[in-house]
Amino acid sequence: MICDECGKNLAVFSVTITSGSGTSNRHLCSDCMKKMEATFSQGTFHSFLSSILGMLGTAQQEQDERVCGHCGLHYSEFERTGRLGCAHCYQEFANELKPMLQRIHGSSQHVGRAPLNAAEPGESSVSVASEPTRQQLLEQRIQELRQKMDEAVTAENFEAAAQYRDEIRALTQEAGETSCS
Amino acid sequence: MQLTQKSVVVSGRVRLARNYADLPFSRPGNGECAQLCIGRAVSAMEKACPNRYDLCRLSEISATDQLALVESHLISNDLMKNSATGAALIRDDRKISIMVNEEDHLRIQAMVDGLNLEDAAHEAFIAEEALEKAHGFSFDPQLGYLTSCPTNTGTGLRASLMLHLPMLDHFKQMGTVNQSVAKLGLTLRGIYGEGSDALGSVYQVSNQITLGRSEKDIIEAVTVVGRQLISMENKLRQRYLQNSATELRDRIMRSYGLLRYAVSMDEKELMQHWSHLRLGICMGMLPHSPEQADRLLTTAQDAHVKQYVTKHAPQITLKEGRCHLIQETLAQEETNPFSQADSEG
Repeated sequence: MICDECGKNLAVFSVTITSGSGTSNRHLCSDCMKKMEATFSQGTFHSFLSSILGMLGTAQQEQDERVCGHCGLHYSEFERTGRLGCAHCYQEFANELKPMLQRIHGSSQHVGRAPLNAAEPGESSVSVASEPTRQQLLEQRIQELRQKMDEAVTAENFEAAAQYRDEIRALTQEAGETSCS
Repeated sequence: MQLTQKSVVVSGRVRLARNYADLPFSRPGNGECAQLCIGRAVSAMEKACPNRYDLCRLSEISATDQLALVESHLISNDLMKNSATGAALIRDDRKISIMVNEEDHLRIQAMVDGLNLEDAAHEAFIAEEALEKAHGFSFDPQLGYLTSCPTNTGTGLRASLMLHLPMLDHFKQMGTVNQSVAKLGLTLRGIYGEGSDALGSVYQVSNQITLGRSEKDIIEAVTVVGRQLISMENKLRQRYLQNSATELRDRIMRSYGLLRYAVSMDEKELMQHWSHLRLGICMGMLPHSPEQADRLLTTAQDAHVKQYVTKHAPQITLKEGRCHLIQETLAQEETNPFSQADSEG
């Protein structure tokens, strides 16, 4: 198997990454594993985090030199520090950040509290995307149900967990049909 | 003996990450922006709750006093690293602190003694609204509150419970627990959060995921897992008491003896005995309250001891000062709610 990181050498290590959407395995060669271990040995959370963020955003590595037009932050700097420069970075680096957020949180749609003036179009809103589509809403609902199912299993409430499972199945089928249509 | 939630829960905390919409995110070296954030936060909170919040600029206090604030969980290690521009607004009852110029412009955190994270969230939202009325926050309809690090984007909410889990530790269950907790999008950390050790078997369970789950759901998930851990810990305590009562009592009393009579003790040793002290109190074996033990968890740490020694006994070492402080605290016998329950039931 070829290394997922450099795409050149033979992978001899398997690394498990746990995120909101579950766990995923990455297969690494000795060189890339050493790089990751070196990051660990530096010991700071941000260096570790940025290495993970870097891994999650590998598909966009060729675009590293992109710069935020508002604060001047280079995307490579974000990969190094794990920190964005301003709210507009979310828009400037939307192509990279959206899949990354999905991998970190298992979702890319906010649910919950909004500012007092959120309903009004104001300067504070940095719109990254338009209103959620039906597909996104379905996925959001499935995500919520998965969480509830996990909690029900933890609480050993298997009857409720089975109901959530059936609902997830139905919605997953619906989401599949929506995306095909 | 009646084991309750209180016998395991040390405290609960809810933290909100917020950034002003019209300013770039906090960056070391951007002093002008940092001062602006401090000014905004101070004036907003003074207007909302006159004379209740004290501003503490880290640059104006000693490293020991900064560390004492970390030990009291009023500020984070990260804010201390940014002491040139970092500041905290601390409410007079020390239940709410607003860190300014940490990773985000504002980190609003509210603390409660027990499991009731909803109360903590309610308090945090009141402070948040007061701050937001003055200057709006960065928010995107799809991504929620925008934060410096994408790991906090969305609700920007971190709910955490600090739990004392000596029996889960003793029976080496924490590895398994950690794996299960991770599957629910939560994480277990040591006493001072990210990267810290679980000294004294004190763990923090908190959410990792902030996007795609509502504040209510996050708080519910942390509470559900907290309850589960409390139940597991209490069952193990009962089992240990039934099967190895002498061994348990011996451990607790040895530690209690050392805490009452030792002359010199470092922080690591303190935490080991502290864990037995709290366990002993909650098993109804010692004439103290869990709150007394919880106070020691803060006041017998390095920076607090240094403050104490500097003020009261500059001629003695920190290790000696720690013993003075512990013994002063334990000299006051307090009603133990757990032994009362035993005698009644």
